[in-house]
Amino acid sequence: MKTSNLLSNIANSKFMTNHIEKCKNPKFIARTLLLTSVSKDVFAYGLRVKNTLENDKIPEDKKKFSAHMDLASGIITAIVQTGVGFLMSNENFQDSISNKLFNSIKDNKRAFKAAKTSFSAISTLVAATLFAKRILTPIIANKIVYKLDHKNDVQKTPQIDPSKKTPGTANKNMQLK
Amino acid sequence: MKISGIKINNSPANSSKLPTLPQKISHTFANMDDIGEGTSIVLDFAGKAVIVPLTIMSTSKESKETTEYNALKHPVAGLIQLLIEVPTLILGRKYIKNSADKGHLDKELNRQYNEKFYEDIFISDLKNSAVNSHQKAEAGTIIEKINKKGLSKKTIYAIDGYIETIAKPAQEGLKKTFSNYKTAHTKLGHLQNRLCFAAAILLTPLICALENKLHPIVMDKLYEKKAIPNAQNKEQQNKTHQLKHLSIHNFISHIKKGRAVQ
Repeated sequence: MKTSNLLSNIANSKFMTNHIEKCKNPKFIARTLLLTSVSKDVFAYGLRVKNTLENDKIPEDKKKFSAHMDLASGIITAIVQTGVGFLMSNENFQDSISNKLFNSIKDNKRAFKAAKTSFSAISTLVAATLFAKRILTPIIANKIVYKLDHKNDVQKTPQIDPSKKTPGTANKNMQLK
Repeated sequence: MKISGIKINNSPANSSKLPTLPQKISHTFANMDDIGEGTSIVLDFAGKAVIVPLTIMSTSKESKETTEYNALKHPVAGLIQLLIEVPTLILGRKYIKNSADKGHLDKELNRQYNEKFYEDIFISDLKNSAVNSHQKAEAGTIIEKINKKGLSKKTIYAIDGYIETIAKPAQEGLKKTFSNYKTAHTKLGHLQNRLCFAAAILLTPLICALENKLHPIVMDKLYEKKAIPNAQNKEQQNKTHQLKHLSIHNFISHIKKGRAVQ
């Protein structure tokens, strides 16, 4: 009964009631779902970075790359998912696609609205959850981490010091003299 | 994703007969039910367990071992999520629905989440509205659908279609009770989503901690398995090397002995 009371208090709180009233707007629902998904991902990636760096069982050579990948993925997933999700839930964008895709049932308003709603939900799921989160994010994160981790590689490679003469050049100089 | 296919009779999208590709696409989307919980879970798990590791492995320029170590973190995370987060959230949703249906979420006369309360009123009005045998049969089918799958998109179409067939005075009353039922259903759905999100956030530290513990163990086991055939190969190579070395050594000693004899 205690859990039910707690649930009832949360469910009937002013904040929740106002929030659920706002959910009548499909655009608001789509964006709320997107923001909850993004915030959960960012929180999880943050925890992963901390855990990876503190984990002694992960070999040192792999630890750095793993933590950097999680950090980059957390930042990129937030940007990419929000961008793609906002684009997909944009009414003008959805309207233009729906008008082209469902032109054959445009006269039937109810069917057209139903098709549009389904398309909006599926396209947002596929574009934001699958493409942006699972394909685009690792690709971008990988590239950024590689570039940052190997930024100093060029400086580390031994460079020829012009002041030090190699034996070959010394001989040549002697010959010239 | 519950795609009903093209054989739905109650859908408004089935009125036209032309089977062209754009029409087929339009009909499929119009008849599609909401994206089910199962579909979202399967897509998310497939993304984590298969797509992310493949993407990382195919695009990374780091050493194979380092890339592999990072890529295989995601299937481990996906598995933990599937075993802990998914059942918790499914059970949580059921618990919220049961609590709402039993009236535990009611606040005095405010029954905004009590779907069952409004469902019962609607079903009672639906039964009363049916006057002839055809309407009674249709009402019976609708009730069966509600009992089986709840208020799905297909059921909503069927109810809307039915309301249009009944007499005007009953029509208005049924429209209102149906609207109340739909509102309670939608509000309960939103409440479930928000509370499950809160539960998921609370579960995240536990899931990440488990992932952090299990991932190195899984990787160690994987490398152990890989290391055994490698060690065997090395042993073999050492033996052949020793044999070669021995034979050369013997050959030299034979020569030396020969010289000593001469």
